[in-house]
Amino acid sequence: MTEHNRLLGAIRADVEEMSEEAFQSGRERLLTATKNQELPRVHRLAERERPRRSPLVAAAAAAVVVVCIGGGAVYLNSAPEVAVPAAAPTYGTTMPPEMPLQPLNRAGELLGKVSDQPQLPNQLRYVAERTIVRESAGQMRRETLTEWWIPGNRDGAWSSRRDGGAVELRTPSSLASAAVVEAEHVVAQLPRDPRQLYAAITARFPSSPSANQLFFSYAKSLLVANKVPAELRVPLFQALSHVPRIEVRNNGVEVSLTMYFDNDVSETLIIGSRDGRLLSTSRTFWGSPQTLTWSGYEYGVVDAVGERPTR
Amino acid sequence: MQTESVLDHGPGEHPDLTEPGGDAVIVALYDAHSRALHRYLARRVGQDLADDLVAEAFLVMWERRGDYDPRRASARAWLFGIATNLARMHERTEVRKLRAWGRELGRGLDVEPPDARAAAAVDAENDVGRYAEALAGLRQEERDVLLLTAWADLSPAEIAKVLDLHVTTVRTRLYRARGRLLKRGKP
Repeated sequence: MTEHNRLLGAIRADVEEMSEEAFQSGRERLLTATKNQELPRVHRLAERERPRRSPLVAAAAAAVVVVCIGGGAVYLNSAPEVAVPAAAPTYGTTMPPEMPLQPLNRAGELLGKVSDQPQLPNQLRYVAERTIVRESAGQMRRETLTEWWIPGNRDGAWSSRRDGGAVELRTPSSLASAAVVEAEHVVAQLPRDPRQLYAAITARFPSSPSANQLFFSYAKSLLVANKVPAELRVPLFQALSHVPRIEVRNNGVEVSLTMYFDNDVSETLIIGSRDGRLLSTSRTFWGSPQTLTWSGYEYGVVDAVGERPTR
Repeated sequence: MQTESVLDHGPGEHPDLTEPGGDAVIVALYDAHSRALHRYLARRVGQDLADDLVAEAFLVMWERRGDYDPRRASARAWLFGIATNLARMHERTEVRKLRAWGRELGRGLDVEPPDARAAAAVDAENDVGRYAEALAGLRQEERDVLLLTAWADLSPAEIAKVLDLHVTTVRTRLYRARGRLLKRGKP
């Protein structure tokens, strides 16, 4: 037994002590959690080596592609630290058909300021989306730039250009980058009251055990593909604050909303807290090889199709 | 006042985290145990993961404070149980690291040791290397109870409570794990 203890005690006995930085970082996270009293969260790292996702959720998650602009750094570490007790991971859950009184996260509160850049009737709203796909080891990298020119009358023809090619008339769904892309007349009919919007969205998947994930994906589609205006983003963020298991983080400038779809897939929306505009999205596959699809958005108002906003 | 009590006397072994002032208690627990927990986790899954898992274990502890029964186990034992559950998600990393470390130690020297003392040191390193590789070959649940005993100083009774096992099961796993290690770890 003595020999056993000696040998076992010698294994990796020379590990370094916890760094002061790690100590303070962990302490800060704990202090934040005790102050916020938010819903349970478990770190994404705890999910990386679990079994694969369910086919249902995989189908929803796999359909989602990400888009972006800015060409900045890829936010490999931007996915917030997350939810669910480690011993019994559950990600999908049902949702009540009517919006509960109490919010489950701070999305609505943090995203209270929502606006779009003023646009004259004959002007076009410009949205650029740059998508970068890369693996953790860096072997693969794809980059796509898609630009959109959206008329003031959103029912009118949208124009787009991909990777500097020719400008073409397109509907949002023709370059679908989301699980579900609604036609503009459907978007126009969505309720602007948060309670009614919540009810309308949950009615799309009644009694689904993954209702929270489907809700999140649908909201993401509205933001990513339909590029919904401020008047719809306001109730959408309020409705999202009643969706279970969305992780919300706020750094004062941006608010991130993260949903874990299963052991291997998470998605994050980064939204500007100044105007509630979607800044970026990311989808991470935590398996092997770890893959990150990151997209960023840039906005403007221009006078003609093909123009880019001056900076 | 609870906070003064915590600051003056530490969090205690069996605090009630659901009482007013529980937030101060858990921060005091962090101050008291995070470094030891980090060492335990770093030995198992490596330094980088340990940084995250320590923070995570305390967040889980806080979020599940209503589940903690101070009469069943000390807060420290409960914390190491939570951390062990979290580390379990990284079994492949742990096994890979143990094997790599074991191979490195067991590789020996390319040249003949200069004297008997050096030769003995090399032999000792080889023994530890073999033991590390044998540890990697254990079943996860055996390795958990073994390392909670050896590296976290928990008793079988404490392990049983925090991992929700019968104490006989813990003792059986320990017995088997030691037996396998001694058998596989021999030169």
